[in-house]
Amino acid sequence: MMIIFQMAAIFFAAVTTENIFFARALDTIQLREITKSPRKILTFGAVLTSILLVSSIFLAFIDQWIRIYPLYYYIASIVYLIVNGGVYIGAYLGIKKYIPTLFQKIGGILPLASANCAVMGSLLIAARSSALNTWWKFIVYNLGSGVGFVLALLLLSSVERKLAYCKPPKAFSGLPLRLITVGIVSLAIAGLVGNQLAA
Amino acid sequence: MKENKVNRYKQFLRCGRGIFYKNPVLSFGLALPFAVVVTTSLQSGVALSLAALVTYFPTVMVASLVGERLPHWLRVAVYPLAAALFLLPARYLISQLFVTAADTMGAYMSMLCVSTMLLFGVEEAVALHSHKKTFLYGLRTWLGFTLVVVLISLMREMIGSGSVWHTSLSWVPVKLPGVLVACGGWIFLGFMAALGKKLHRGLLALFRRSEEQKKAAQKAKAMEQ
Repeated sequence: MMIIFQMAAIFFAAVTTENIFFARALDTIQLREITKSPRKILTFGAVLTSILLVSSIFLAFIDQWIRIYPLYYYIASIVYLIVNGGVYIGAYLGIKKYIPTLFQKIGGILPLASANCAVMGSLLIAARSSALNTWWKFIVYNLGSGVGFVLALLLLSSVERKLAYCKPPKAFSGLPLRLITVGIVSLAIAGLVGNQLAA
Repeated sequence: MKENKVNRYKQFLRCGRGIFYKNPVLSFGLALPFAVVVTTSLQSGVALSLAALVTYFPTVMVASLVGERLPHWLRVAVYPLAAALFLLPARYLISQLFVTAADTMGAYMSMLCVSTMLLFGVEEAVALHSHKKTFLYGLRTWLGFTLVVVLISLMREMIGSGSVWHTSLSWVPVKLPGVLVACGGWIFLGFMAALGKKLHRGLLALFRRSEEQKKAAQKAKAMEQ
């Protein structure tokens, strides 16, 4: 029972307070994609989360083997890239061969959804966190990161649709306004971390 | 083409494409994680730009040499790995030169291998079909990235910590630590991008007005004669 509560807590933290988009600013190139429909954002997010989940399952065990080496922080990024790259290539070739209808839908977005800061960043941050010292915590955190990323994009997409009706100053139109919007939303979510006033 | 101020300004922008004009961070939104999270001190900014030089530039040149021999879908798996190999000496160098910056960067140093600046740079290198053009493109993009990162880290450290290169400044009236967290970085970057746009439009408008005034004066003089 305690494990389920712990899983829920880690998942919730990964989705909200440690959101990889707002708190860690990972894979923010997707700011350019928030004008797309929610369906496309969900498709992209589902592919990203799947790749992240499968990579985390492998790395949860591989990381325990390589952690004993003294040059761990030097070789970790290479090992993580090899595993992530292997998962991506396996997914690409497997889906292309066995599920061609699915490949027609997601083949174009599979490379971008697999090799990006969100996937690598989530895996590396989870590996460096002392709180995620078991394999199931590692996997749940990465699953939460993927879900949090999708929710962040959906939230920003709805904000973008509202902003389309506004007439900001020309200097702020486009990327500057999106960056400031993300900053304000990030500030709101940072409030969930809490603030303790001195007694 | 007539040599007037507007054309000279546009020529200057073309030469500095990637640095001042079409900046990878402020115009295209590439490498934003590093500009938002890592740039909390000038030391981190300099360390980040050094690490980016050692990972980004050689990887882009390798991509130019390999060209289209590697299919597109395989590039996203191979080139980050190549960048990770180039990152090994960079990591050691930065841990020796900038100890605190290496700790601040943490996992973000490894993420330079999968940064959007690198992935886009690789595709551009393949599309250019010229090693010389790739070299210039890579250099300009790195310089543009360095300019933004160093400026932002300098301003954020001054405003957030009241120091520069970890040396405190007595003349800073107030410190705003909120600027050092991620949300502050987003807002800071947004205003910097807006300032860059405003500056560009302002200069263009200034030069155009100056040219129009010059033409009007010349026309008036011709009519008098």
